[in-house]
Amino acid sequence: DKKQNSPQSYRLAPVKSVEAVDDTTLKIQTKQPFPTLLYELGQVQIVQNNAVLIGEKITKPIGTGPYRFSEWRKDDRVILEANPNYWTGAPKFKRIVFRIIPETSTRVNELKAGTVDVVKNLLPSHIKELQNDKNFKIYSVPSVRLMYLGFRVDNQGIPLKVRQAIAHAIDREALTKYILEGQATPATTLVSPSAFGFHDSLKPFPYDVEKAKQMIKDAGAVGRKVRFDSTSGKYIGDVEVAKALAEMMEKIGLQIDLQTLEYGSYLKNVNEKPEAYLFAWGQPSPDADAALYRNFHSSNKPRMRYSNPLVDKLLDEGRSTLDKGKRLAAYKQVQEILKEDTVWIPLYFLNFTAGVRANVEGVQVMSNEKIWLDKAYSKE
Amino acid sequence: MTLRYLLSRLASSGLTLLLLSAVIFVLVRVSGDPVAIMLPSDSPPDVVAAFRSSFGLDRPVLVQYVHYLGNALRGDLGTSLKYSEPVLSLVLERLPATFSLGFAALVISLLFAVPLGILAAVYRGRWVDRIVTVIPLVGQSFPVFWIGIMLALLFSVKLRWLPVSGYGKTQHLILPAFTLGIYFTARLSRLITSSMVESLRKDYIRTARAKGLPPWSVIIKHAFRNSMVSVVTMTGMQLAALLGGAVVTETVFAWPGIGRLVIQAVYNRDYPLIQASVLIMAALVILINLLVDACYVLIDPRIQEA
Repeated sequence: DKKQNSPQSYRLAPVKSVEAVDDTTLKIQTKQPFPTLLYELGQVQIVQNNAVLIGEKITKPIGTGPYRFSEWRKDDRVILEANPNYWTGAPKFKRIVFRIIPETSTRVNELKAGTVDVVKNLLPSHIKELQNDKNFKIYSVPSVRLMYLGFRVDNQGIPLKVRQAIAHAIDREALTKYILEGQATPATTLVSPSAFGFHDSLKPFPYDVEKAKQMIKDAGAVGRKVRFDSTSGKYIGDVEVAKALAEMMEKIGLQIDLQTLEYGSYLKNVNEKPEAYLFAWGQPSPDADAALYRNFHSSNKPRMRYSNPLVDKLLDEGRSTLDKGKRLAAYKQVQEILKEDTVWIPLYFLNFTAGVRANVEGVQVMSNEKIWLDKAYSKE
Repeated sequence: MTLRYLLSRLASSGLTLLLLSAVIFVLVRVSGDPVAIMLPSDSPPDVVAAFRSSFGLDRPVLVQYVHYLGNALRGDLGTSLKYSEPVLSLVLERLPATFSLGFAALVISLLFAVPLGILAAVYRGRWVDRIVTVIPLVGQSFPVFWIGIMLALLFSVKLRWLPVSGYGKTQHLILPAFTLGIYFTARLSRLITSSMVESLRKDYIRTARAKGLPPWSVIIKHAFRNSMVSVVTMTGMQLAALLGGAVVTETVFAWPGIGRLVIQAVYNRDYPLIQASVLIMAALVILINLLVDACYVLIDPRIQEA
């Protein structure tokens, strides 16, 4: 309903009409082939029709999942009760309580004290500590959240040869093995390996410091000042990785002005005057379109000031056909072009981590940073 | 405290709050764009523009301020950009948690700081003084964050006597209140010691002893009472700081107080919530200062209003 002015409405822009055929069938007509329709539908939430129509805030969500909403204590907890009518049968746990505990050490202490059963987003130091304790299990799966080094690429940004030189100066193994202590997987391209459209034979520029130094000299960029922005504490290890990247870039002859900023200030910098920045992209659905279209199609005015008509054409082709072969070919070509254009340098995919008490089974920790509890149960 | 004095203080407080509202209104808008934080980074430019317009953020700052002031004078401080709820109710919801933590921490700090400070002053230079001085030194040297985590490790994880974090029962209050209380005990006890040392040197104390008054009477009724002006000042300042929100303690113990609300509002650039929180906290500080002034008159009748 366009009158609602939802900021999510662009996800379903190709939808022409929606009709309820019967109680369990929905007919959706699109203006053109829309291969990612199901994924985009998964990004929007179903709410009570009457609440939306009267402009009421939704405080009691509805759904058909294994658990039902019971109570929300603001900034403290959300309580869900088991849905006895769930289509695969009622879940084993009668109640799930989601507690909001902002401090990681406090979450881990709650786990150790036995007052919570599952905690997510552990630091590498906590993982090491809990791994050696038989009372807990650690789940650590590569997520779809890509950490990358982005650049402004127009004539006011970093020149192509300098960007490619930087790509040769990055030691991904060092970042993931030593700084992130194994809690990340080096990235080869911008699309998650678990997504349709992943270019499985594409490799990043090889780590070669001497080649990078020569490229900087050839580009006349020795001593060039580069402002490098990073978030501070928003992503695991972001400050440490940013410092390491700054050192790698300085090693090849650049002068780096590293600014680690609180998120709001960081966004102001990278949106208004980007230069080089460390950022994350969490792919919302397992399709290359989700990783590529919104970030690199020039109609979205990417913050990198990047515009390539061939990339635009290929991305438009990818989302206007249902032919998987054609889509895959288009996305592979886009990834090859983006590698050469070095708009983003893919660094690594962060691991999504969770600590679980040893007596709890059936917890599913997913790469899209969700934890499924529908099959969870207690051994006790 | 006369009615005239009270009215003049209220008038100057009103002016202070008005000036503060203008300063905060401009400063938050310079700090960053809330829409960039609220929407996904891949949102199309027209969606971003429409979203900004829906909050009135595309209008000139002066127009926004006049609109805000008009509503504020009618008791409407605006709607949170993030929570879509009236900011006044969001802040008021947090006040019970903030007050309970603040007052509990203050009571704990007074219970420890007063006897420690007096002991250190009375036994100045002796082993009692040395032992007592170490306690505030420890309290001030270690970060509040660390003290909180250590207390939780000992009393919650190891001993299982108290909950690690949370809100709702009296047990939840104990660790965060002690964490903050330890920190403020350190500051307050040193102030009491130095005030008491000065008082104990005065001639009227020598006279009181010469008259044969019992030691407790000399120390408490005479020396401590005359040190109380600075103690009341510091206590007022600490209470104001506590009611402003103990962000670190609230974060460590997942305590839903005003400190966490404000810091989240700042991170989100939730302009109306930041403005309302700062104004309400400023009003509380003004009220506390008024109460402190009233206490001065009670403690020392020589203190008159200017």
